[in-house]
Amino acid sequence: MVSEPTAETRPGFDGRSKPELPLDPAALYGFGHLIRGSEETLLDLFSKGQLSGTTHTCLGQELCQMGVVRALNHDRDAIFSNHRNHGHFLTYSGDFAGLFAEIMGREAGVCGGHGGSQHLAYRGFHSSGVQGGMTAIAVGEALARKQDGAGGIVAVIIGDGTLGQGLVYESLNLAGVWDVPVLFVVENNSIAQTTPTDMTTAGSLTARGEAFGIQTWRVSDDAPDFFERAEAAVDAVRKTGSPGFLVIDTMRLGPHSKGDDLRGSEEMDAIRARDPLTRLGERLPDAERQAIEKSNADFLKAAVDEAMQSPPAQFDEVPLHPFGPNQPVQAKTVQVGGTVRQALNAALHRMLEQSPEVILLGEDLHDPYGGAFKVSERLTTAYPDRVLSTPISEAGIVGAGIGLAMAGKRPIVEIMFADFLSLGMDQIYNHAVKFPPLFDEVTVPLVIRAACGGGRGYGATHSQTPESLCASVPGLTVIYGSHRHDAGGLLENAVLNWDHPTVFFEHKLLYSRPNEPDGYKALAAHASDPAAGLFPTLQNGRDEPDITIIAYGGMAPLVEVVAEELEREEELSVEIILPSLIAPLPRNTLIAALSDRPRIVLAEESPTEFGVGAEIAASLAEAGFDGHILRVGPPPVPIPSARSLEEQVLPDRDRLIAEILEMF
Amino acid sequence: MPRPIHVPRINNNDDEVKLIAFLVSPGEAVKSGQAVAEVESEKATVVVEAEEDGFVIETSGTQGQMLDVGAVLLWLGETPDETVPQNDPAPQSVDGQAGTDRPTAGALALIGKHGLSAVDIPAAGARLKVSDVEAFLSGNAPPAEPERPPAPQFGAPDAGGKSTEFSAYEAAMLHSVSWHAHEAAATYLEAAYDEADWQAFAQGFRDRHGLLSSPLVPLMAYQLVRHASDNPDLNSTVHNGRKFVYDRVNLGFTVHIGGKLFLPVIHEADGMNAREFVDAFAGLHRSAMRGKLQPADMKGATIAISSMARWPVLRHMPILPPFVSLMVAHSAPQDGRSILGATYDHRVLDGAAAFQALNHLTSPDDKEITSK
Amino acid sequence: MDPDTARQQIRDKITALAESLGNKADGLGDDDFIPQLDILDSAATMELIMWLEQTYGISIPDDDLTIENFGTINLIAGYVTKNG
Repeated sequence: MVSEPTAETRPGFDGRSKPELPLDPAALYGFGHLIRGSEETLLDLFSKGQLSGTTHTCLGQELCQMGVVRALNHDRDAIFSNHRNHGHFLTYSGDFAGLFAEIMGREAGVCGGHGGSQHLAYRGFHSSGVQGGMTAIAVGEALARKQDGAGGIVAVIIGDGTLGQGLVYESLNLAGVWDVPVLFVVENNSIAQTTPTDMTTAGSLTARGEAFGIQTWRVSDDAPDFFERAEAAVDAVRKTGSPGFLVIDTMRLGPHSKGDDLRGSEEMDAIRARDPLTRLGERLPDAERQAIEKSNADFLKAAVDEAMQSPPAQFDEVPLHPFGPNQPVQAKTVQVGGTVRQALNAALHRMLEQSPEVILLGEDLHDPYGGAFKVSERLTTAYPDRVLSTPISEAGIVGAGIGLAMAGKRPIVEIMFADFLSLGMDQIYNHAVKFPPLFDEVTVPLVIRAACGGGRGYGATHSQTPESLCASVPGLTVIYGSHRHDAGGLLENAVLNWDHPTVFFEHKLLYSRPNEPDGYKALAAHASDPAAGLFPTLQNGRDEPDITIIAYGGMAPLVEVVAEELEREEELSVEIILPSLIAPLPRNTLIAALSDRPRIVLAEESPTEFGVGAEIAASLAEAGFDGHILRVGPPPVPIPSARSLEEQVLPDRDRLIAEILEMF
Repeated sequence: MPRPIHVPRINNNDDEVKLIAFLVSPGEAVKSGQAVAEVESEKATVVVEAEEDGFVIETSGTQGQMLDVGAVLLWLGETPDETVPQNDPAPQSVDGQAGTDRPTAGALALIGKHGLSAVDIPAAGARLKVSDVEAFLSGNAPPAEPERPPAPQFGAPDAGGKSTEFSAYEAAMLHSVSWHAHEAAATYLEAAYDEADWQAFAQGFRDRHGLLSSPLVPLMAYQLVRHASDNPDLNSTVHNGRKFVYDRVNLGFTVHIGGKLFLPVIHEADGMNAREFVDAFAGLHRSAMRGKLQPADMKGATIAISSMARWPVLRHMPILPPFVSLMVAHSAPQDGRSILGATYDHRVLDGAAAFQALNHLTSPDDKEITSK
Repeated sequence: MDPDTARQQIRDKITALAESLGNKADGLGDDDFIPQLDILDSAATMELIMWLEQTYGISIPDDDLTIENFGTINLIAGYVTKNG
């Protein structure tokens, strides 16, 4: 019992272990008051120009934020929070100085200054600044908890304003379908930034949980038994292993961030009158309360001093990329003989058999269907617990993949058509690639496989390859092999030997092609190119070529036909270069091999504008390439459905040859 | 009118299927429902059936061939002698679009590499090919590599020195006489004089030193060396927009042998006395006549002299060697008068400076020549 | 080698070289001191030396190029006969 907290008697508040908060008014008031003091300290530091950026305080919501986190006492419990996270973070970590230093942009910050107010990580605690963005990740992590069977549940905390985000519902649905131990907590402060809830949220809050068949509770943080009821919800999820949905009614005392509060004084007076923290304090004898408050003030002053002593965060050297040094590449036995589809399917079977961490998620994977392109055939039969047919929720399953990866799995997410990657893009762009560089101990070894490409008359939303979109995402690895690469080997390297989020494109027209090297050799990977050895660039071997064609993925068979024709009819020596790694671009590998070539053609199936070819061309030009360079690809228009129209838009043999001959 | 039977789609995502066999032959009568062919995909084998009675007119494909889904597999007619409609325009070939008389791209690449023109080269066949260009090349003297445009500043001084900023005055002259600062602004002037004093001085030197011939030009060159040593502006050039003052005086002189002109260089001439210089001059001259000049013997001139007196030429205007700012031209006397000329780089030297140098050479300076 | 023949060949060469420079060399005596006649310039003198080397199959080192060896026709003939 901590009835008179002092700095000396707060063993849990040093940032090294989770604070113990017994159900005792003095302890709860003491900690809640400490959170409020921290928020007020931050506002004070902000007004003195000591903070990096802005901050979102939980003033008025201190007890609400403590309620659930306080009860998450299992070693393997995890918390995913949001922009308004200081109360959650402090209740989980007790690291006051680390929080101050982080928000002040100091080296001693809990994320070394990389995260700031909204992006905090501490053991099982992670927060991020995209509303609802963490919900699917939490479900993925909960799936890992369920599979591991070693206990621990996951809580994901959002505000009522976030109920406008679609991903929340994908996540609730996934949690229900998978029946995983995740507690969704909605902190209902009746306002979304500046907009009242009645303008943003239709219908019932609790019905949102009930609709997915999820156990649902609603409590108020000013209820006398609030902490008991919050703990009961946590216990229910833990006991059942099933998801829960908890709405906590609360009130925000401060603005959303800084100076953005439109509420009138009458409303604010009512909120202050209700303030459950003040009410809790009033239950204590005056002397005890004052002693707590005095002790807290001293404690916070010491924490600020500690944070202030830390120097501003600095990179020793700004990293060129987030991938770290290259590891030695293990030689592999190349599997040849079948089609690309068979090679990929065999690799999936091998990995699932040999590596218990490998998990495959995707739509319509179940046998006998085996996925839309049959790459995942016979997998659900062999590995029913680790190969999951999912709802139609691209963002949800990409997010779940991130959560699984953070929990130590090697997840593979199959996206039926690469066009739908855009649905999962926020999960990739704002979460998967950002966590590892921002959060020291987080890796996201997630592979997203996507069937892509045109030539089948599937039309505008089932024919694209968004490799340019993906390659422009900082930190995202993009692999797009051809039928000349060891397709299964590429996939195995991506899943097992590369610890970074990766999109793995598979062209639909290559699936039925024989997967044979046919005399291609790998270019020597430049040591400074991350992953260039794992995902090689192939070359057909021509001495002093008249022309070099760089192509990848589905363009490979086409440029082979073109090269054959140019060599036969036009007496040209034609070199073909087939990268399998699009991003990080094997820049120096390509420059070393190609800088002396007279003519280079970049043949692309995706629009050339702002494309991968442009990046390759720019790299060559910057390295002093002074030959003739040409991009051949489609215009920036939708891919039409009629085969005859599609053939006119996508580059074909005749157009490639005609444009190449213009170079002579 | 024959009706087609199409290659069936077996799987949603397979655009080609393999032909296992035709079960009927052209001319054969078939019944509705009769199996006419067998095809397979990775997934399954399918028997294609006739949908009506008729005669097989034509089959497309051979056993084992991959057929496009939706293509015509077989034509069925009401009688065995109907003909298949030919309404598919054959796809136009690239050659057809481009015209068959166009040279092959390989030939064009070779033509471009050698700076040739396709119209000059006869073609053995319809198209000009690599072999035609090669035949043309072997029949003609190989043309020189096409000239590359000169680099902004081609080369660099071949002798050691200090690079300094031009003074404001010097820079003003440089900018007023050159529209691009990387090429010499070569200019010429001359002075008239009576060579009698030089002849007498050279003969005296010859007799004192027991030389086989009178060293007039070498001695005049030596006096130029001494003068340049005392006046570093004469021994300077421009490099990368900066004034480059050479550390030592390296004198280049022209030697005409077998129809070729050479410019051997006496290195560090400012460190020699007159006799050593005359011997070095004769030694290099002799090496030149023997064809024994080494590349190093012809590099690094910082100042130069040329004589055409023996032809006898009355005046000449030499071309400046690279990175040399003053070259003196000695010619033959006529009626007791001689012309001494100078080509100079006006970026470095103005007319007054060049004339002063020239004027200094119009008579021998015994003290200057023999002081060392 | 007959010294008379050598003398005549040398005289003919010197005369020809002098005439190419526009100088008269008629009546050049075997003991006339050629340098002082100013009929050969330094290039012509070099040419003469080269000719001697080729014609008499000898090699003349730089140190031997003195008036004691090459000052007169007689001295030249003696040098080439001795070294030839």
